[in-house]
Amino acid sequence: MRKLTAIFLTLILALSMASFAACGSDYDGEADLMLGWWGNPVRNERTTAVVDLFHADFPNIYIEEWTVGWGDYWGALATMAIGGDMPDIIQQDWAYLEEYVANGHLLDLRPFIESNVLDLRNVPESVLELGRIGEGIYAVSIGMNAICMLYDKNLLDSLGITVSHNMSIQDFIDISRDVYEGSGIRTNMAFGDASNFMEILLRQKGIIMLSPEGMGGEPADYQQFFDILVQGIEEGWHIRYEDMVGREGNEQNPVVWGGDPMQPHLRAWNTFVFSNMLTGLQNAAEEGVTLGMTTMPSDNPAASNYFRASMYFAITSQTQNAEAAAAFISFWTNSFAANQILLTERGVPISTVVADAIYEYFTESDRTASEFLEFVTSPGNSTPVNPARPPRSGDIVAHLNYLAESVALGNYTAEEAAQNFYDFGNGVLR
Amino acid sequence: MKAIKQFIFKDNVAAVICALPFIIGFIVFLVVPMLISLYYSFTDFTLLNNPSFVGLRNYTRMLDDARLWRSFKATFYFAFTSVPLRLIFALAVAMLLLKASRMVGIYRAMYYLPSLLGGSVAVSILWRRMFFVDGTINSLLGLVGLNRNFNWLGNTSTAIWTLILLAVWQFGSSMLIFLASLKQIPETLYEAASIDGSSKSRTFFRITLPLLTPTIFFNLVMQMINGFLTFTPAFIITRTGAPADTTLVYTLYMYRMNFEFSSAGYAAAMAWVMLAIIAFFTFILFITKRFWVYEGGYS
Repeated sequence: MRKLTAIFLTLILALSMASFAACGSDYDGEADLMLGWWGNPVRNERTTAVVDLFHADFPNIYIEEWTVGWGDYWGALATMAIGGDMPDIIQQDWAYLEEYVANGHLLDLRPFIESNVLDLRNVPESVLELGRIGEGIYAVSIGMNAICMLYDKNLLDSLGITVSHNMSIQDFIDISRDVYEGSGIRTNMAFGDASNFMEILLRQKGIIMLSPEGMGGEPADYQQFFDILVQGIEEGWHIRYEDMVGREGNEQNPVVWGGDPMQPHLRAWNTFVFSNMLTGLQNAAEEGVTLGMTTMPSDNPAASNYFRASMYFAITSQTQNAEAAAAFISFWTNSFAANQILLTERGVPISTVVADAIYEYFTESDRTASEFLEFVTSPGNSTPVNPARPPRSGDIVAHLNYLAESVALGNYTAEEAAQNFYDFGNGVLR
Repeated sequence: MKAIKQFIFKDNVAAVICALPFIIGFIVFLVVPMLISLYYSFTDFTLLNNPSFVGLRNYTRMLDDARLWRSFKATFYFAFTSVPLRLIFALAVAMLLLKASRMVGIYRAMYYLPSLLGGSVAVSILWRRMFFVDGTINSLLGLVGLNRNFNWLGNTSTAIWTLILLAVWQFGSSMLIFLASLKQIPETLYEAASIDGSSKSRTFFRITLPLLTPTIFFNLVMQMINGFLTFTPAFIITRTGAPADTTLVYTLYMYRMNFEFSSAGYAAAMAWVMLAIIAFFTFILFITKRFWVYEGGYS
């Protein structure tokens, strides 16, 4: 009996040793990776296709996929971080990158870049820098992005309205009025994420909205946003807040969907988003809607326009297979076949060689996005992006959305809202 | 060996052993997490960092949090309208289902069904679709020639009522409890009343209702706690507490604080405040008990 037990114990020990060995980062050997991203139907389909391609090239590396919508992603990821079961590779965002690095959740990628396991030789230095926090490089941009206005091109054409880049605030208000008078279709400058336009209006004056020291500028600087909103509500051309509640995802964004064609006031001719959103929105659009892309309205476009990494891939410090994970990101960046599938859905590819080579496969919306990005990145057309938002900015942005709603409902004047927002932001940041 | 056997078969010990699965679960999944959350409520914790002790700051911050007060308003409004409505509804349906008929079994099952589904995500999604601007409700209104452009979810006075309606619709579990205790009321009391010429409403208010008060009390306490803790419908139907925080119920705000606004310490403090509030209201109910709850026998 005792002998049997001894044999049994030895066997277990041997087995567990073997499994320990398998856990070590062994790039040629087997590796199980988990890839996490926030997505939408188009993105999920394309990502899965690229994961399959990768597996065909690296048959020993298995990738498990984990995806949820943006709204659920960060909460779930933080929970995984505490629980110790984070994915090996995660999609990261500019707004969260710093916090994740500061708390030691991401790996410094420099060793992999130096050894070319993560091959970034065709990536411009300036793009590489987008992933730098302090000394290290913690994330690789997987696409370039610019803040922009999407508009319903066919609608504006039919009304004889032409849009050109760098329109002023007054141009924007005039177009909004004309569209409303001509078709009954309204404008959306506030609902969804009000901070996009608020930030542009502050950048006009060289003000950075959110920084660890507090809110930039003076309370009065925040009033223009609410003033335009009040004007739009009073004159009728801005979409009603009550018509926005309950909408979900790209499919029900008022720029592509209004439910009932007999009720044009449920639709909007524009939306303020980042340029990579075009693919998803265009795919979700009703027939006959073609989206165009132009700069955000601004009286000082060179100061307000900006571009940045649309999103990143990063390797988490909990991974057992960092090298395999680096190989995956490298494949993602450099493979023609992969980028032929991905196109510009996550932003324009960062490898210049890849971007040139896949241009011929671009759909019309990919071309629109990449031409727009070319315009914004040319010298003199934009100013560097604001520093990453400090932690807890989500609270402030949520409050801005609440204030936009309240102003639209007539519960606050523009002046009260501006003061309230300024004070709230300082209360959270300081 | 015999001593051990004797020890195990002692009544007290046997009881503890039988209850052990529950006790272990209670400690591991409730007591320990509660203690951890109590600790977090005194720290600055974002979920990603190492919690650092800040004393009572999370609690004092609540006093200045305007959004928290809006969420209190939404929660109390929800609880204090949906709970009485649900109980009245449950009692009315229970009275109807008391009558013996051949279909009564099917009816009981059918009326109970919403309660099985009610808290679920699927019904909440259905609810959102029904009340959305192009939803079923508006289509029906359109069919009878009424205005069909109204967004029930977008109006600050109607949005919370879509949630209340959903809560009232889930009256099944209260109904079953009412049904059971209605059957307990001895037939002789009713017979005596009818011989004395008591009217139907008088019989209800003088016999049925007083004898039901212990059940009403039980339902009231349970449903009130549920009402304060409502989460799923608001989370699915209006998601952010829209419009203008009128549906931002307490637990939804707590969730957003924890997962969206990186303030897990604050959210933990909120949870403890809610515990105190529930304890307070339950205590009040128990104090008032002796004034309106009939606890004597039937004879």
